[in-house]
Formats: sequence, C-alpha cells, structure tokens
Amino acid sequence: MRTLHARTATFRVVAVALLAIVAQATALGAQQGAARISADSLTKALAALRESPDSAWIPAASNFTFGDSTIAANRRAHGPVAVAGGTLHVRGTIDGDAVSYDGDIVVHQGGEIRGSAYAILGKVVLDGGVVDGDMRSLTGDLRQVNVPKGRVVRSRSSLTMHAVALAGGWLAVLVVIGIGVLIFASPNLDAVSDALERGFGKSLLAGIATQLALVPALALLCVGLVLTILGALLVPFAVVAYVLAAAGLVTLGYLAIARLAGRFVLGANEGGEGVRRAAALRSLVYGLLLLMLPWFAAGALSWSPKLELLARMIAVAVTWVAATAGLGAAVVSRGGVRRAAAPAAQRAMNTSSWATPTPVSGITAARRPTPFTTSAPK
Amino acid sequence: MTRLGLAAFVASLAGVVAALSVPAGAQTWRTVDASRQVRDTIAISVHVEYAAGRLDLKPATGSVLYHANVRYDADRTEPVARFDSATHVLSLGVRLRGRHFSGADDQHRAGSMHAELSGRVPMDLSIELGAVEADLQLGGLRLTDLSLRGGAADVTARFDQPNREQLRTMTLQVGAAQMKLLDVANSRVSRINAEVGAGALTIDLGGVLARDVDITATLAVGGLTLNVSPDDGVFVDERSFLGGFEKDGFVKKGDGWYSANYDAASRHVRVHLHAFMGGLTLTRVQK
Repeated sequence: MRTLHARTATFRVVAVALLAIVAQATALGAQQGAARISADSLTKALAALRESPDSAWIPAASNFTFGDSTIAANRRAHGPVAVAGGTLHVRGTIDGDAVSYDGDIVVHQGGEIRGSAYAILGKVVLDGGVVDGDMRSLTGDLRQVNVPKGRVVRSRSSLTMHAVALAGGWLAVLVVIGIGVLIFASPNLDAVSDALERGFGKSLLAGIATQLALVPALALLCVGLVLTILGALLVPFAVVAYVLAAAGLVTLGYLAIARLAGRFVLGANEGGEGVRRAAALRSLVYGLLLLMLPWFAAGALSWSPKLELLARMIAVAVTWVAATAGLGAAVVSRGGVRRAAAPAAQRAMNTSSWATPTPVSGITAARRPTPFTTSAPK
Repeated sequence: MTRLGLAAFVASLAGVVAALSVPAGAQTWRTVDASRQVRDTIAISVHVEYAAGRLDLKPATGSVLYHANVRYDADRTEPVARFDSATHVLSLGVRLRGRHFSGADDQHRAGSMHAELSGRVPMDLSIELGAVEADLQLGGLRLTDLSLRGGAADVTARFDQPNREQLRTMTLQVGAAQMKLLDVANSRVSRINAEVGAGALTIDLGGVLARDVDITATLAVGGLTLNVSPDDGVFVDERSFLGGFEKDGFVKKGDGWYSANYDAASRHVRVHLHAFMGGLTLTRVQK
C-alpha cells in the first residue's frame, strides 16, 4: 500500500514537472516567435516576395506593426493594415487590404475587410466576418527564387550576360555544325564558296529570288502531290523534307560565307591536304566569329537601349545579307553539287597523257603546197 | 590558333551551350490558398490555365465563388488566382515562368492545384491545359459555355450531376492529349465542337439526354470515340479523306448515314464528321 502511494506521488511529481517544462517551452517558443521577426528580416522577406509579378498588394515593410493587433468593433481603419509576427483580429471595418506576415488574419462577427486579405505564412480565418475581395494565404519556402523570370525586370548586368551568352550559344552551335560540314560535305562547301567568290552580287540576287519563291514553291509542291491522289499521303513528309532542305541550304551558304570571310582575314593557305583542312577549319571559326561579332556587340550594349537597337539592326542586316547570299550561292551551285564535279574535270584536263608536247625550239614552217600542172599556161 | 587552342575553344563553347540548355535544378515549393466569398449571382467568365502538374476541379461546397489550393515551384512557375470584379472575370491556374522548357518531365516536377467553383453562379468556363493530369467534376455547376483545350494532357471530365444551366456550346480541342468526357448528356448541351489533332477524344453521352445534340468533329490523325445510348437516333454526315467510321447498322439516305432507329427515336445525335486520317468509333452502350 505504501509502495502504491509512493508511486502515485512520484507520478504526480513527474507530471507536474513535465507540465512545467512544456509550459516553459511554449512560453519561450511564443516569445521567440514574436522576437524572430525583425524589421530587417521582414524587409528582406518582402523583397523576396516582390520578385513575383503578382506582388503589387505587398505593402512596404514600414507599414507593418509587430505583434498581435485588433481593429475594434465599430472602428474603421484605412488599409492596408499590416501586421507581422502576430494575429490581426478584425472586429470593425478595414477600408482596403489586410496583410499579415507570420500570423493569421481573423475576421470576427461584424468585422469587414473591404479589400482583400493576404496572410503570408499564416491563414485567413472567417469567424462570421466578411471579406469583399480575395482571401489568400501563402506558405512554404519563401526564399528568393533563383531563376530568370519572363516578366520580371532584369538588372542591366544580367541582361548583358544573358544576351552575350545567347550569342555565344549560337556561335557554338554553328561551329559544331561547321565542323560536321567540313568533315562530311567539304566539297559542297568548297563549291558554294567558289560560287560566292565568282559572283557575290549574283548570289545575293539568287538568294532574294529563292526567299521569295520558297513559300509558293512549297504550295505548288503540295498541290501537285494532292492532285496525284496517292501522293497526298506524302504531303506531310514532303513539307518536312522541304523545310529541312531549305534550312540545310541556308546553313551551308552561311557557313560558306563565314569561311570566305575567315579566309579573307587569315589569307589563303597553300600546302598538303592536312594543312588545307586545318586552314579551312581556322577560316570557318574566324569567319563565324566575325559574322557573330555584331550580335556580341549588341549583347554587350544591352545597358543602353538605343545603342543596343542600333547594334541589333546592324547584326540583323549582316546576318540577313550573309544568309541570303549564302542561300543564293547554294542554289546557284545546286547545293555544291555542280562545283563538286568540276575538280574532277579539271584534273582530267590537266592530265598530259593525251597531249603532244610542243618542242621548245619550235617547228619549221612547211611551205604551202601549190598546185602542180604539167601543161604550160596558155 | 593551334589545334589544341581550337579544341579548347570549341569545348568551352559547347560547355556554354550545355550550361544554357540544362534547366535549373533548384525548386522552391510554395502553397497558395486563395478563395473569395460569393457576393451576388451575376454571371462570370472563368479562365483556368494550368501548364503542368495535377489538377482537380469540382463544385464548391461552401458559399465561396472559388477556392483554389495551389502547390507550385516558384522557381519555374507562378500561380494565378484573380477575380476582376469590374469585368467579372476569374482567372485561375499556374503558368510557366519565362521560356522554360515544357516537356514530359515537367509533369513530374510540377505541383498540383485543387480548385472549387461555385454552383450558385452561372459561368462560362474555359480550361487550357498543358502537360497536366486532370480530373474535372463539372456536374453541379451552372455552366453556360464550356471550352476545354488539352495540349499533352490526360483529362477526365465528368458530369456526375446535371448541369444547372443550359450548356449552349461545348468546345473541345485536343492536341496530343487523351481526353475523356463522361455523362455528357447531363451537361444539357446542344452543340459540341470537337477538334482532334493527334490525340484521342472520348465523348460519353451517358446521363439524361434532354434535347438533340449536334456534334461537329474535325479529326486530323486522332480519333473520336462517341458513346450513345441505344435509344437515341444517330445521324452521321461524313466528309473524310482516309478516315471515317464503321457503318454497320447505318443506312445511307440522301446526305448522310442514319441509324435504324433514327426516325423512331425521341432524341437525336447528329454528327458532322470531317476526318483527314482520323476515325470515329461509335459505341452504343446503355448506362
């Protein structure tokens, strides 16, 4: 019996001690909750939230009061009414928005918010009251988001970096494609380059004509296929093939222009096959750099809208001329096929097996034969 | 430029491209809970736009005009929950930020939206879905018009309860999506316009068909499955190139194909079919 009393007393002591500890911890937690919001941390937190496009409702940090707050019954307050680290009790009327940070908004019986109620890291609780506008609570990870956003205004340095990186990306893609073309379609590239060298103006005109004819030709192709009934099945494939072919010709022409520009800067290289290939690659890379230079310049000038616009116009003009002339040259040379046959013919012409060498000393001219008659003239 | 230098240059450029093309791995998950009390019963327009993730929509139980609980990745998406009281337009959803790649991966990395709409207010509802898995319970609402567009979505829309208004037009646009509409007769619709690209659309006219329905279906390469009660008469006006429909049980009369019970049926479903390579599958199941 005594043991039972002793146990009961022990349990009571332990329970009271636990209650005391829990109560102490709760009080401490509440104090810390109120204390963890400082003006600085609130300012930073609100700044992070303003990254969102739909953030016009967030009031300035200076508008917030800290701790619990009550709009008393029959009292009218002009919004926005903002509290941080506490609960906003609305028993009267708020003409405008109510905002809480790290606390709830409770709209009691008779209370009215004539704008919207926003609770950041809290809840909007309707306890018989009315909210005319939207009620919104936001919870979760409220750190500043770290990706570029479409409609958010970027800093100038960020804009510049983005534009330059974009131009760099395009340059890299073109270099990779160029290497592929040099490896697999070098004769075609040579032929297009030759066509450009022979007549740049002619290539440009041909390019413009090709651009104008691209869409009508595609339409004609589709109509022709549809008219053949069975060919109608091929229309989707034909359209895809047509677009790919056009893109291929433009790319081939652009690379040819780039190589030509690079060769102009670096000068022609003579030598064996290996040296020629290395020179072709060098020319291509330098040429692409040259053609992309206006885009890099436009990117670097992003800090000045007017200069950037000017640079972009120049870049667009340069790119259009290069792409158009290249396309024309590619068309004139039939994708480099026409010129591709020429070297073989040239080599055939150079072979001397059939030719009779002319002696250095020359050949004595023969006397022109005259008619011979036995009868004397009359 | 030496070979080594050239290789380093190309490698660094490739690195730049790779860095630009890899999406940011960071995720910042937030939850926004938005709602609005019903103030009157003036008709509203509701636009729901949801780019990627999971969407549930159903009639609201309380006296709210709308309620939306959205979990989203703030690094990639932004929530929309806005009611314009001047124009009576409600916009809900989640949009992708900037020019992020929107692919199949987005559906798994994206969040969710649970939305409720008032059954007290008449509304025309338009829903535009990207890479979304959606369950839409539209029965019990007061829909006057419905537009449903799915890009690469997997959508099931149900009318378990009758629509409380006459639904004038139901517009369905299916890109590469799978879209099922169940118990559509409960929607009290009179006209359905369906456009199917490469996806699959199922329209189940289960429920109580209160009036005749005209369906205009344009099928590119996708398919339309139409389930009609055996009691209803069906007419199909077919203009197809390589597609079409199975004509068993139909009789050709003048301008189209009629089901055997067409003249005797009290309710009719008229299908105007324009099919390039897609096909119409007609099923007759009593529900």
